[in-house]
Amino acid sequence: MIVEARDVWKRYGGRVVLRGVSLRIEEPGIYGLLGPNGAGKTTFMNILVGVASPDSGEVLVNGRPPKDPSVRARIGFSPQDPGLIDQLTGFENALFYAELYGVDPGTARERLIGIGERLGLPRSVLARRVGGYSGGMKKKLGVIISLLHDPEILVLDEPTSGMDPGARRELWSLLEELRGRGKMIILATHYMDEAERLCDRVALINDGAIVAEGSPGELKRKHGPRAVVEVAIRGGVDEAVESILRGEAERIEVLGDKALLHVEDPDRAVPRIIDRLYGAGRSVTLLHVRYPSLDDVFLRLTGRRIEGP
Amino acid sequence: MRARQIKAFVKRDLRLVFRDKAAVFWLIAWPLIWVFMVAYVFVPPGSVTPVKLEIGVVNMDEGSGNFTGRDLIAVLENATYHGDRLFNIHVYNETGEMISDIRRGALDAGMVIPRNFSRNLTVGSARLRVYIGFTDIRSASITQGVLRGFLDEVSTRIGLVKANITIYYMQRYMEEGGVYNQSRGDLVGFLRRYMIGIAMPLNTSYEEVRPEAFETRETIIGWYTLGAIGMMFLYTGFSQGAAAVYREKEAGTLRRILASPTTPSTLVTAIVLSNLVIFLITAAIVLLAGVYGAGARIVFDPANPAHLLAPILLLDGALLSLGIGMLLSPLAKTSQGASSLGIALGLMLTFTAGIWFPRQMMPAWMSVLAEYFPPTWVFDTLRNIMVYGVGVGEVLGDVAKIAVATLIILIGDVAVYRLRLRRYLEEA
Ligand SMILES: Nc1ncnc2c1ncn2[C@@H]1O[C@H](COP(=O)(O)OP(=O)(O)OP(=O)(O)O)[C@@H](O)[C@H]1O
Ligand SMILES: [Mg+2]
Repeated sequence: MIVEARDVWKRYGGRVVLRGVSLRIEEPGIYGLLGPNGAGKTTFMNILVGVASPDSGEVLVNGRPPKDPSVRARIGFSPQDPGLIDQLTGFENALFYAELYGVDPGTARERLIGIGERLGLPRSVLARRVGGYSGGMKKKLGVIISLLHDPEILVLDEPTSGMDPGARRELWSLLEELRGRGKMIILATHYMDEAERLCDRVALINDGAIVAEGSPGELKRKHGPRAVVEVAIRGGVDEAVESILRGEAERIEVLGDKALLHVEDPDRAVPRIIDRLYGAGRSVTLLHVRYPSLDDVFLRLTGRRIEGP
Repeated sequence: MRARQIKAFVKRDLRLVFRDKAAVFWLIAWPLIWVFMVAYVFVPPGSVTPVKLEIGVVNMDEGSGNFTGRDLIAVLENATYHGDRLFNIHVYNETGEMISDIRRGALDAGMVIPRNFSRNLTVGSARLRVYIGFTDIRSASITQGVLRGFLDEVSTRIGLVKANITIYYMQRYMEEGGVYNQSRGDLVGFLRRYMIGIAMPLNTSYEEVRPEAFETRETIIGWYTLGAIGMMFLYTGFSQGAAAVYREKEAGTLRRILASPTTPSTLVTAIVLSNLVIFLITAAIVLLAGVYGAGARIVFDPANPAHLLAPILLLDGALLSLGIGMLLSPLAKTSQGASSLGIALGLMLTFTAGIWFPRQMMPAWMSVLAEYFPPTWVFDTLRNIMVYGVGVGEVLGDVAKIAVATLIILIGDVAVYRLRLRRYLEEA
């Protein structure tokens, strides 16, 4: 199982959406595409499953282009928009797609009920028309449909968005199980915790290009600061405070009354920060030292954050 | 695999259509409303009548005899078919005046009974001049067929009367002292056959031909039942053909379908087939309701080769409408737009291209449209077969024309889809 993208470019109108994306995934495991809104994750996935074509470059799955139906048969794709028909029941929607993959209705039904039970989409709900589902229920059904033909490769575009925390964790554990069974899972997300907790490898994607790639640990070691100090200051972070802090951190980001400081050596930096703030007559209402997250890596590499404040 | 995928689409689309009240209304209720409207409002039971022909007569006959011009007029006036008068007779004094009325369309035909009509009839044969109003080929041939059949029969009857009179006189002459021998009975018998032979050179029966040429209430309803099906095919076919892919795209299903092993050609085949199935079901319902509910004359005789063509033509009508709809799809950007365009164009052509209003009712410039609109060929041919009972030989030319048109449209569709299917997805 090899999924490979070579220098993929895509334009919409005059706008460049993917600028030379290359990646190679060879091992089973969970591969995350992490990036903010509009980064190009969905566009890349559409190309990966053969629904869109690149302007230049190519995507190969086991050495073949995804336009080849036999390649697509081995991929399970859950689009960002679940693609369900409101006038049909959950069962009818799911069995329709399963039949396009040649899964017999009995097997598909059985799998649907099994996974549905697990993700909190019981048989009684599946028997109802999808028009009456909540957003989260639709999302769950959309993800389950991509699993019904037991694909080798799963391409999931923001699978957990809209799901409640219980269902998210349940889906994570399901994906981990699938990884255990040797499946390759490629998922797009803008949830940090999802990428950090779940993914074996992550590609950080910003403005149509991959800015870094590796395991979450590697990325943080390689691109992240040693530590992040969060300070909240009574009266907020103003110019004066910022200029005081600038000397103590290699990077500062202000979020409301809080400042995030990237520091190399927190044991040295924290006492000095407190000293200098109190010295200037400002009082600290909160101080928190933590290890960097992928978001901090992203911020460092791109100057922007994935998750909002 | 392919068959299975297509089956999945057909199953899904049948569910969707029959769950959608609006779709059921437009597919079944709306055409039926029009069929029943025709049957009970436009031509209520008893109101119709085979087309009554308006016939002008100029009677210049002055003679007296066994059968005069006036007798001919009386026979024309009293001629009936299924209890209804066949002709409305208008007597003119002058030929020119009558011909100008034919030109105006006020008369279907006119005849001139010449000065010595009755005398010629007694001594030999009489001439009768008939003018047929030629508004269009169909009504002209109906008029001509009716008149010719009728006049031939009149002529035969007159001939028979003449023969009998002659035989009567000959018999009396021979009995009263003319040639008398043993073979007299044989001679009379021979003469009888000989003379009747003169009177009826051809023993043709016009009775069989005549009913087909008439418009009865049943054939009118039959005509409009097929018209209602044609109307439904056009507006649904055009809008479905134009909007189907946009609809999949907007529902988000197209992305999933194209990511599955379904090939674009399977998808297009599936869209076409599921619509054809829906069309056939709804057309069958409308046909049955037309025949059994509204009393339409629609004959289907599997032993008749022309009738075996009928279901194929019906399918082809559906295919053509869908195919034209698909050609329209690049003109729109959303399913709403495509579907409105399809419905508008479908309804417009229904009313202008001879699907719902007979071509004969339209001004000449407008009937040109019907001349070149393939779905009209389909429905006219269907009507000829199923309503007027025309034989297979008479429709083969039309069928060939229809097949060529279908082929051209389908090739166009393949081109459009080749070029556009994936673009449908990517265009915002
Ligand atoms: N069909 C399209 N036509 C024009 N522009 C498009 C189209 N699809 C995507 N784009 C543009 O391409 C860019 C990348 O979009 P894409 O959906 O791939 O981002 P994303 O990373 O999936 O974002 P999100 O997290 O919001 O899902 C966006 O700026 C978007 O506006
Ligand atoms: Mg996206």
